[in-house]
Amino acid sequence: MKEDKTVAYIEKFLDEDYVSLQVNLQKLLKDYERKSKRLDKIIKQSDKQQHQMMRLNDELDDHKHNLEIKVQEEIAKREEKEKMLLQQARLASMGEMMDAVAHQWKQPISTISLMVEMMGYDFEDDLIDDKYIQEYQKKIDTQIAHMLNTLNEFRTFFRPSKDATDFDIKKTIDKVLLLIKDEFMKNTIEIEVDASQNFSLFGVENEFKHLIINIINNSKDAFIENQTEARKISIKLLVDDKCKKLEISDNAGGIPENVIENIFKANVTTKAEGKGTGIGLYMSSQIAQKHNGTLSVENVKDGAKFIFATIKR
Amino acid sequence: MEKNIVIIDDEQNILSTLDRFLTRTGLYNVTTFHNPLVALESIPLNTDMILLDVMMPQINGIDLLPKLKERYPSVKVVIMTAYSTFDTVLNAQRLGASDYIMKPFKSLNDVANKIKIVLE
Repeated sequence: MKEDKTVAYIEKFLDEDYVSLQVNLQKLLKDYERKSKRLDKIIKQSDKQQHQMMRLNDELDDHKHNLEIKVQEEIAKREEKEKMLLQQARLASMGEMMDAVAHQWKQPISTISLMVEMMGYDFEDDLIDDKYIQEYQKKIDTQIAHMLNTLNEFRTFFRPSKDATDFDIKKTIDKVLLLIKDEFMKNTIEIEVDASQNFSLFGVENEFKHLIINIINNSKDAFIENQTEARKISIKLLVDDKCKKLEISDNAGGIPENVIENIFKANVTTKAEGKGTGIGLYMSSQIAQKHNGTLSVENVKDGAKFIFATIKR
Repeated sequence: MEKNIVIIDDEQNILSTLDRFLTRTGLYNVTTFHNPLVALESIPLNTDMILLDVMMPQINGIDLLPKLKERYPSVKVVIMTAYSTFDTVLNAQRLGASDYIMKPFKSLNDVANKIKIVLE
């Protein structure tokens, strides 16, 4: 009897437990279904997002590619523009130099022409003898030598030489001054050269001449624009333990403070519109770098001072 | 009677040729200066005309011209210029130049003719 009760009790207990287990299992199943649906939804959403991301990524690649093309195009355009500006500056410089040479030639042509004409009158006056001829020949040879010298210097100046050599900086300055002497004299500009500490540079001499001429031509333009009186350009060579310097200073009034910071950038000019290409000092700065040096500028008492400096090796 | 001419030019050959040519005509007594600053201090008072070069190293002719006219107001000045710009000529005339001659000269006679015309 006692055993029956026990069995009944166990059966009842098991029934209840079974029911409870069934309920719990159903709950779990429902929960699983709900989570599974949610997971499906998330997976679907994720797939969608992944697709969207892939699409955006493709778009980004396209944009990147287009941007690269545009950058390349812009760089090419800029290089082309810079090339044109350099060519323009070169032509402008060539024009100025041709003008200078033409003026330089007027003096010896004038002299030779007068001397030859005078020779006719001297012949009439019976003044011509061996000594006279020798003297005349010498004088005319001197004039022709000056003309040839100017012409050779002009031809060399624009010859596209790429050969780097050691060159004497004082001689380079003299060559530049030979070309521009008359133009500066015409504008009453005194050029003083202190080459007591002369030095040599390794590089392309012709290019370095352009560095010098760009700077002194800028001074000339500033003198004219500012109508400076007692115009003076000083060129000084300096050598110390560490470096070699070429200083070019003027008394043309200096460079405006708002421009001086960017003076070596392309397209920066202090000149009136249409008067400057804005490329001269940029070119000079590039040339300085090619000669293992730097070009800097500072305003001094009455004007500006340009300094080319290179480390002494 | 000979007229007194002063020539100021930094080119020695031009100075001596003009001097010899003008003297040879028998019409002029010529004094030359290759330094314009020395000329300013030393021009004879009886000078009738100055031939003045424009481009000289010490001081250019256009800057020297008013100083010469200030010291020698009655002296006629003819500028000699290789720079034929209208502005240069106009400026020189404004500063008191009587006339100008272009360089290179056409001929020595051309210079003599100009001098004759201006002095007349």
